[in-house]
Amino acid sequence: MREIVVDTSELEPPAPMQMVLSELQSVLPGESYLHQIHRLEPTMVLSRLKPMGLEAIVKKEQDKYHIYYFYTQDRPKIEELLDVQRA
Amino acid sequence: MFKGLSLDQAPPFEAPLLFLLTAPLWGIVGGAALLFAQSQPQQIGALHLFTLGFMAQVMIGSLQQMLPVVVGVRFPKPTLLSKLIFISLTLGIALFFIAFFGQNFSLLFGGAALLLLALWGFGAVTLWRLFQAPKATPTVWAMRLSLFSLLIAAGLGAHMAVGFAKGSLGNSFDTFLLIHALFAAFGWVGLLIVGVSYQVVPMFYVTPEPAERFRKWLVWIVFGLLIATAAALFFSKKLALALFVTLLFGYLLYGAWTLQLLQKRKRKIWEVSLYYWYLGLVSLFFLPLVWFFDPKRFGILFLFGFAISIMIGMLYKIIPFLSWFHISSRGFFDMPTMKEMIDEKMALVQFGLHLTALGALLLWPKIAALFLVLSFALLLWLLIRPVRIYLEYKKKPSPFGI
Repeated sequence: MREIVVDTSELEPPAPMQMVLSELQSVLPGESYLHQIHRLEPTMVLSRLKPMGLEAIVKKEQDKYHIYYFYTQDRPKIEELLDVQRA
Repeated sequence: MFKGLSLDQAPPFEAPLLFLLTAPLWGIVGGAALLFAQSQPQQIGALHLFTLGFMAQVMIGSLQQMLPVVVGVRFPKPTLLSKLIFISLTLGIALFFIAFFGQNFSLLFGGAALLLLALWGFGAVTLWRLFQAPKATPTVWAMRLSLFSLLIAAGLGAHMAVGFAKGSLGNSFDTFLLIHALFAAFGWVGLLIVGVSYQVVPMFYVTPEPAERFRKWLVWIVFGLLIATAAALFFSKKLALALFVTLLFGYLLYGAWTLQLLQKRKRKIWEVSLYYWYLGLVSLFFLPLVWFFDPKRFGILFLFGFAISIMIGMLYKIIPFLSWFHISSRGFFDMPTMKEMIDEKMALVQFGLHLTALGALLLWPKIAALFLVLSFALLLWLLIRPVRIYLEYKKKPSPFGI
């Protein structure tokens, strides 16, 4: 799976959402996922993903949030990948 | 392929807008009423145009917007609920004001009933949804405790209004009045500002996220002191005073801590909403001192220095952001930026008018009325532009076909 990384942790709204929306267009089922690094949980985007066939996993490390966006069918692969990354 | 964000979870923009744009209108009427208010009942009527008309409208509108996106829960039938609350709140405020201003207190039966219906109805539904939140974050707790405070403040307010209507205020009127003001100002208004700031300060001003432990404890300490102060009023005024002053220092601590966060913001650019935040937070520092010298001016400083300032500052951010969000969610990318939606120079003039109104309220209230009218009128004019942009795009067919 190809990881697309976008660091929005020092950007003012609406730039973080704009960048995520733009990068999500490059995410393809079974091929890639988006990794956003942000200072907050992006609740406005997270609460609207499901109807679009997307899901997200949020992890907090120190003062940064890592948000992984992917297509629903890719969840097992992403979970496996994140566990591997953490190990 | 991904084709834009779903708006399924978002409340229709029109639902919070109804409240957010009506709020400055009440501010204009409130300023005009202050100009003609001679007697104490008339001053009570004018005061509630700011507390119920401006502040409650902004807070109800903001909660409707924030609940689905920040808390992750939806209102049932959001548009219908919004209209019902709006109608009963608007009619309730109008009757309440006419009753006090025209000294026709029998109108308070209807006014109190409508206000209670709107505020208890909204409070109960929102609390019910908040207790279904998937995560009880400090913001969620601040909202819950703020709404509990609203139920208490509104209940006591309606009880006292009926007392006025019947012409018998009862023996406990003074104590009830203090508890009503205490829960309305430092519970309903204060705790909601605290809880919402936990989200919006890091979001809009690129500051670090405040420490979770501090966020959670502050909310509980404030609410605990509110309950303790109210209880103490029934048996020891001295103890109540000591607890109340401690509560003021709790807010002072919040002010210092939020100012420190704002000082750490990554982008050191100054803009009008930041001036409002600084004015609001610095006002908190003077509250304990002003309380001992002049309780009336203390109320003015809390309402116009702290609460209304922060609400205006947030309106300058929230309305352009929501306008941008709802346009972009339909697939448009050529709309003006958030910054272009508000005329910053005119917004600074508006801030100057607000600051002058605050200074005049503290020193010469009759002059203040004029500045309040001008300040709220200019605010309304500035906020209409992002809404107009949203409405223009709403008419266009979406590139996504949504």
